[in-house]
Amino acid sequence: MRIACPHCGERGLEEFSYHGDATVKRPTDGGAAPTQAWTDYVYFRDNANGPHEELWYHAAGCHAWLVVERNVATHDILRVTQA
Amino acid sequence: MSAHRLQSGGLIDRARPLNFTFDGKAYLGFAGDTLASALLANNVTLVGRSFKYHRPRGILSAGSEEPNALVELRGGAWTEPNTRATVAELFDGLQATSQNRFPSLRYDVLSINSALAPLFAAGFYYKTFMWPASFWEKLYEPVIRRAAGLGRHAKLPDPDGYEKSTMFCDVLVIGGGEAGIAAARAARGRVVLCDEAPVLGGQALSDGKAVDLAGLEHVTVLNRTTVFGVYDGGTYGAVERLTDHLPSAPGPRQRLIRIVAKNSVLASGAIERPLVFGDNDLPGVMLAGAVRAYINRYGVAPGKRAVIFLNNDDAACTIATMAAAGIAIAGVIDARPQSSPLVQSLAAAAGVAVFAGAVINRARGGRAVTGAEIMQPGGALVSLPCDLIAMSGGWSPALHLTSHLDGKPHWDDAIAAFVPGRLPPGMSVVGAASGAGINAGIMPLWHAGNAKAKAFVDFQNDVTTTDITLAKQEGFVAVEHLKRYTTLGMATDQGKTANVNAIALMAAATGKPIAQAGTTRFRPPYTPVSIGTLAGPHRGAAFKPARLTPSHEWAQAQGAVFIETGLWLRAQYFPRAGEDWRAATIREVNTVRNAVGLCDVTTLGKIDIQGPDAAKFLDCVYANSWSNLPVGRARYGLMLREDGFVMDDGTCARLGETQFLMTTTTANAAKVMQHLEFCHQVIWPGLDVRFGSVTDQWAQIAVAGPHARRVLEKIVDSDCDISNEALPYMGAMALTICGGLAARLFRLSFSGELAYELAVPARFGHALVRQLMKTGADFNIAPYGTEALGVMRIEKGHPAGPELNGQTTAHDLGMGRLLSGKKDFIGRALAARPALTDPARPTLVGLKPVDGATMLRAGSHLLRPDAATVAANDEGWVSSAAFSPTLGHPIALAMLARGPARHGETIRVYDPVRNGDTLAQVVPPVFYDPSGSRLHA
Amino acid sequence: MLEAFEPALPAHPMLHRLPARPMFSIAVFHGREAALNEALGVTLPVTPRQAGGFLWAGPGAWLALHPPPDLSGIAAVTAQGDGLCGIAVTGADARAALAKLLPIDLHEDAFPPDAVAITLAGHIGVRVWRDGDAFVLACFRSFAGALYEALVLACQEFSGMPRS
Repeated sequence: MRIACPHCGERGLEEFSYHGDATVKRPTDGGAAPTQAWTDYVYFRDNANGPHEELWYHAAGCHAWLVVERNVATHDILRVTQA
Repeated sequence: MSAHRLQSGGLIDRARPLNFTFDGKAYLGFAGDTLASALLANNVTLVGRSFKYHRPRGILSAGSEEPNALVELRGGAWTEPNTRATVAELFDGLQATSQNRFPSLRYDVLSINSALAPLFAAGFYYKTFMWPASFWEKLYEPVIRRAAGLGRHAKLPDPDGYEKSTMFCDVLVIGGGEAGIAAARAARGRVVLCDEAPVLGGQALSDGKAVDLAGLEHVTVLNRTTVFGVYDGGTYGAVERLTDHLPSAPGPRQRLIRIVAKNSVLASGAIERPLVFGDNDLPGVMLAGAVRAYINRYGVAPGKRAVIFLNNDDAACTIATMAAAGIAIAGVIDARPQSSPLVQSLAAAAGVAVFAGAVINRARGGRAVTGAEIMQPGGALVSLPCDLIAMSGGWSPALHLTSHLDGKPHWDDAIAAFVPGRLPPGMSVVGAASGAGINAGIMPLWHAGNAKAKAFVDFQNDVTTTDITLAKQEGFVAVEHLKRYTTLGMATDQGKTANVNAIALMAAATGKPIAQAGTTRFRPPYTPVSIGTLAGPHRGAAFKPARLTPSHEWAQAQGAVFIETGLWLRAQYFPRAGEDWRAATIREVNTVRNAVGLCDVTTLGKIDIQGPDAAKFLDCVYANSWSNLPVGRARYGLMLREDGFVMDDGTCARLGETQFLMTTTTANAAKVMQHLEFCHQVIWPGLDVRFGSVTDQWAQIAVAGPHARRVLEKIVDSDCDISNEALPYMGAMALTICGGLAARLFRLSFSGELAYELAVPARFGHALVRQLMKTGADFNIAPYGTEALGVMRIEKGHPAGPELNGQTTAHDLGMGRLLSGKKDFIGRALAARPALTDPARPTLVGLKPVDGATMLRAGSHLLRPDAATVAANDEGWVSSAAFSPTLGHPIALAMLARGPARHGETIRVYDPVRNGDTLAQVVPPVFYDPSGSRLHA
Repeated sequence: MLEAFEPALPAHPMLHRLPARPMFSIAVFHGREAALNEALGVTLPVTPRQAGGFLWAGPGAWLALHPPPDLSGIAAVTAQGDGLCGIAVTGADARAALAKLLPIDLHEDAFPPDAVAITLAGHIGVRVWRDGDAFVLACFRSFAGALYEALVLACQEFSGMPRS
């Protein structure tokens, strides 16, 4: 698999580290209590077939965090942007 | 001149004879031969015994699709089992041995399996050898295991070297036959052409045609290179065989090439199909195209008197080729009712009889073909003596690579073959691989005759028509089920000569069209790849790179024993004469506690953090607070994961209003950097802060012990004050040492003694250690390693790696008070979950053995002394353990349910895996100097 | 004064360790790009290139090959002259040897003379740039020995030298 880092150009999978779903957003309530919003953020994920927005870290490259839109069924990468 | 070598012809070099042995017997071949062609030239037709039934087997093909002629090549540690003789290039001194037979190829005792055949039908292991149950492990399995399998491996480390490389191109042409050569010639930009053979030409060479190699100057041609896999992103895997065709050679044996290509052209040709009739596996039964290859490429006639059996016009030219090579042709058996004009005319020209509408019912012979039993239309049988049967069931495009990314081939009725379906992005297919120009006039014939003899479909895994019928009877009709139930297509040849016949037979048995059945999914590699090639240079000492500290060479010279911590090599202990690890460690601990020691702690991650929002950023990533930390001070920091569990710890020093220096544990340095980048780029991009690793920039040496300050005072420049007042515990300052060298001094202690960490630019680390040893000699300074470091931190009850195992919380470690109640930080919310703050959770305690002597072991479990040893009664585990030289008895740190409330209690330390079972007293985890008075000295 | 120490690396016709030199990481603070360019007197590259002794090192980050002026309030500056070790790969076969370690395209069109890349050499993180005909690989100091060994192996086909 190759990912086109917007800064470095296209590189092989071995340079990147996968994090997970990019669509989940950290609650902004300050985290004073362990609410459902926090549990959802940390644990629950949708598991759709098809295009998926996910976070990858260019670990062996420029250290940028990237949002990769990738079809998990066909492996086609549709878009890569800086997070 | 050996019996079957032709007087002239072939692409071999008759001026260069080569010696080789097969099963210990000496033979002669020529440069340009394969082992198979050289064996055939010497009339060696029996080359192996089949997998299950141990039937005598010969050479079926002339290519990498060969299912039968598998030999052990070379000897000793270089032995390569399951080598196809059809692709093994002959070299002088080549040694080959047949496989899967005992005591010899000619007289194999396990050919008895043939008589027991009904027991070994498809799926036999689901139905037999089950009773009595105990016999399976003791008798059946070991016996079957010895009888099964093909080659044996050397059981010695692979002595060859391997290499990896990456190649970029605009067009990758896969296959160097006529179609591939034309595609490469026409391609523009950077063009790479790969072919598995030593020379370009493909099937055309086998058919005796001249091949035009002009116009390839702009092409990088890689011979002896198999493209074995197609991967995402225009990536292809290839293996280049560098020295397999030589007796020996320096340098790597094979090279794994990752090819990144904008476009590719698949020109991999087609593979001929056998015909399925009784005893079609006898030595001497060969593919017609292979017979032509042996004659045209190698100048070898595989027999003296042949029968040709075909169902298509592609094989017709075999008649002329054989005739020109002086092979007598007893007859052409054409399954098509009227034969064809082409066959009729070529047969007439050669003076050969054509049996139209006839099939071979069975081959005759014991260890080799002696005749063919022909079934005429109407059923009458006639026997033709022969020592060679050249058969052609048509050609199957070699389309495996098109389906590596899940493209499904589809059935083309017009040519009775599967052709490529959806292609990988950027790939086009040309030539026979696309189905072009093959199977002229074909009449599908999937099972010929009705002989009571075995008719083989998959030669390598010994799968017959009976097995396919059985699979259908038992309901395994889907093609993927058929494969797994019968094991057809699962051997090292992956069914290249078997799959289509099998699918067609199953389709016929179920009355469904072949188009509906489809093929099984093809996966890389196309042909077997050595594990060594996949590893490349990364094995043994080079498996992972070693990271060395600035004092490494010095420590080596002191005789230090090293331990791996991640990629780093750290000095574990410095044994003196007569000391083992235990004695050395005890001495090192005593030296630090009573005098002074030094230890290279460069490996701990060091991250420089700068910016207007540096302190705010630290507040976000650490559980405790930073904005109020004065410049010139360090603080212990606890970092949680977002799920509330502890991720890492370290100290962070404030070097300036907007500059901090963070340390992490050695093992987590990269992980913490990734985490910081995530927090900054994804969660809090508005914070103005930048950070970078300085782990390698600074050599960091710990100087610890009651005399530590006295030693440092002698090397710190006279204008720098490091008194207790100027640099109190947890202080940090920049200063100069040894006459002007800029350095940083941190008063931090992992050992619990008066201690400092002195940082200098890394190039001076080696000299600094030597200087400290010299200066400290008056104080009996000695180096200490990670073993002593570990003992001392256990004596001080400091949580470290074993306690920060990703399953513990701040409360578990007795650090609940560090969690700020006033600010958001990573992990804040979920750390407050009731289950994570429950005092019944295993919590940090100390343990000492009741008998004062028994060593406690990390990994032991804790139970009440009167409780049954079952999981339900498990109350915790021992995380770290050591013999304490300072206290004179074994100690341990452990996580015990409601631990802090149980000091004084007796607990059972249970370690059934290593036969440990002892009683211990629960005590506070800080065994030594609980008030910390020595830290503040 | 203490002496600098570099572990000895065996001589090789295609490889040599570059002498230590001052190097600095520069990472710009929010909205201060123009001020940084002005302070340095150069337009810093915003793509993987080098210009005027400044090598692109990621978004808003550069590696300076000489000491910068005071950049307080403009950018974070960190000394890296000891943290990084440079190895030069020279000779007509440099590209072919590097193809065995680097997963990037080193062809003249893909990697022109002012190109810079941050990638892996085998398992070791490196920055790659060109200095005339030479390719420079810079890794963390602790990896220097391992990188040199990997390079010696990659060059073996061309140098005829035995493995170190």
